[in-house]
Amino acid sequence: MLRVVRRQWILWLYLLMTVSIIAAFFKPLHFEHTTAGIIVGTIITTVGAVLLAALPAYLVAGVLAGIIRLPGWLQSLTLISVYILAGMPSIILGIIGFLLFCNALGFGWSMLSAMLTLLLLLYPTLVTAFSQMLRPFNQQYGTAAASFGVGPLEFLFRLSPAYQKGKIVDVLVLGWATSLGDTAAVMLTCGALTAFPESIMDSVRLLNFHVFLLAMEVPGGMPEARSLSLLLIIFLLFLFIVPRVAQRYLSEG
Amino acid sequence: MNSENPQATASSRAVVHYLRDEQEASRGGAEGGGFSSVSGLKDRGGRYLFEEIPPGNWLSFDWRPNVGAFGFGTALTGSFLLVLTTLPLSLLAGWFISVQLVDNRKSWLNPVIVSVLEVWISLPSVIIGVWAIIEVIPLVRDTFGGTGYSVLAATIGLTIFITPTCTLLFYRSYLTHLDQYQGLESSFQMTVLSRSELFIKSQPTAVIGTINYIFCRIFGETMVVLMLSGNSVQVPGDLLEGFRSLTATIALEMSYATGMHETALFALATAAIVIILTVLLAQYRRLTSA
Repeated sequence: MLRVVRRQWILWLYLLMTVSIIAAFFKPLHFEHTTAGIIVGTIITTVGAVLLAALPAYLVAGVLAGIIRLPGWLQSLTLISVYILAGMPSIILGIIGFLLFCNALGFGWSMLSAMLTLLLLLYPTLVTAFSQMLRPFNQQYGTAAASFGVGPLEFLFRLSPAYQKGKIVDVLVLGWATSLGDTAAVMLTCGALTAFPESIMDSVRLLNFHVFLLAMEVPGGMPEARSLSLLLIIFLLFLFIVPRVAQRYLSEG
Repeated sequence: MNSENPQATASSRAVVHYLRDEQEASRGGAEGGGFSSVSGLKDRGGRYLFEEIPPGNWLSFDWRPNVGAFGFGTALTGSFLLVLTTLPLSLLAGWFISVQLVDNRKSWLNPVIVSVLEVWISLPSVIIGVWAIIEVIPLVRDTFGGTGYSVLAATIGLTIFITPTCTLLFYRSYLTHLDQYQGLESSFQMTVLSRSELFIKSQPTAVIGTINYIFCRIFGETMVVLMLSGNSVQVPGDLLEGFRSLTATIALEMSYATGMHETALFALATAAIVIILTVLLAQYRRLTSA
């Protein structure tokens, strides 16, 4: 059994990441006035947003590919929701998130509301990307699977990822890159504290918002803004290259 | 004081109205109507912006929220002016580059440029704003004088931000229907103008969809405009004067707005939603049936 698990090294990596994130919350490190809290807060918020948004986006891509059958009015509702959300500017999504998640649901300025607002933002991007990359395979093999009695959900979550892990990871990384860049949506939902976050209800300052404040409101903050944006650009370039490289290890055959 | 000027009287009436309701609201503000109090149109104290503030107030060009003048005109004009200047520039640049890409799709340079454009799209708007503050503002300032923060600088920065999206949209839609054009490309001597005409006439869906999408992106773009436009609450008389767009108003004032000011910002956002939904849904039927 250990030999089987050892071959799937990516599961180990995922386990390590999860354990380290959870461990960080049990033993809060005392970082003050550094960018460590900002970087950790950014990573947790954006990764959490992508992971939260991936599930509904994947299901809706299945709907659009014709695998999951919904009643007609629900199908047109999904189509129109993707279309409308795609065109909404991010500050409007920030206001919707502020009113809905911070005030009405009572989460306050926290990472959770930022994650849910970024979910609103990422959902159309992920749906379009999943639809584009997975549609040929899903349409063809989904109808074939239906004729064997394999239901749509089993197909989408057991059979399809076995062949398309690389593409799914590609799309998730694209979603991560999108959420890293968006300032206006998190400006209003996430607060502006630079302290190291201690729970998911803590407010953090995301890296792009920090760059914005340094460039606009802190006198003499421009050099730091430039170096932080260089860091962000290098990280985004890295995110571009990683899926292409990982596809070689993740795709089957 | 009533005979001074009607505008002062109107705004002072609005101030008195506002202050009186502020006292009433602070007494009974907690239960301002449950969920409806968090909708964009109602105040925390349960007052509607469009009921409390007369239409003459919020349809004017006077945005001074500290005295109770909530005129949406300035912000809307700023945003529409920006769209008017940026939309044609970015569409033309995007179309031109995409035509060059399609013409040279067999060369080795093509995947390189497409990758560069994809990286360019994924750059966050803050970073493009920071770069533009460093490069574009001094350029405009040295060439034209004045402060560099102007409609011109915002147009240049926003065009730089939006052009790769335009390019790749046009490029992909051209490539999808390439088989229709290949015979024409090889047999006729087509100029860029005639090919544009052919493309628009044969693929109106793609062109109109692209224009819609780019309009929505430019209208809603906050960060680049905030950093480059100077944020002065005026309708600019010149392309070299600062202006203030709708999204920049919301972004800047949300952090310190209270009471009716906050509600006015939510109402501004509602107006933006209405405009964007109108533009998006006008072509919905055509785009989804194609």
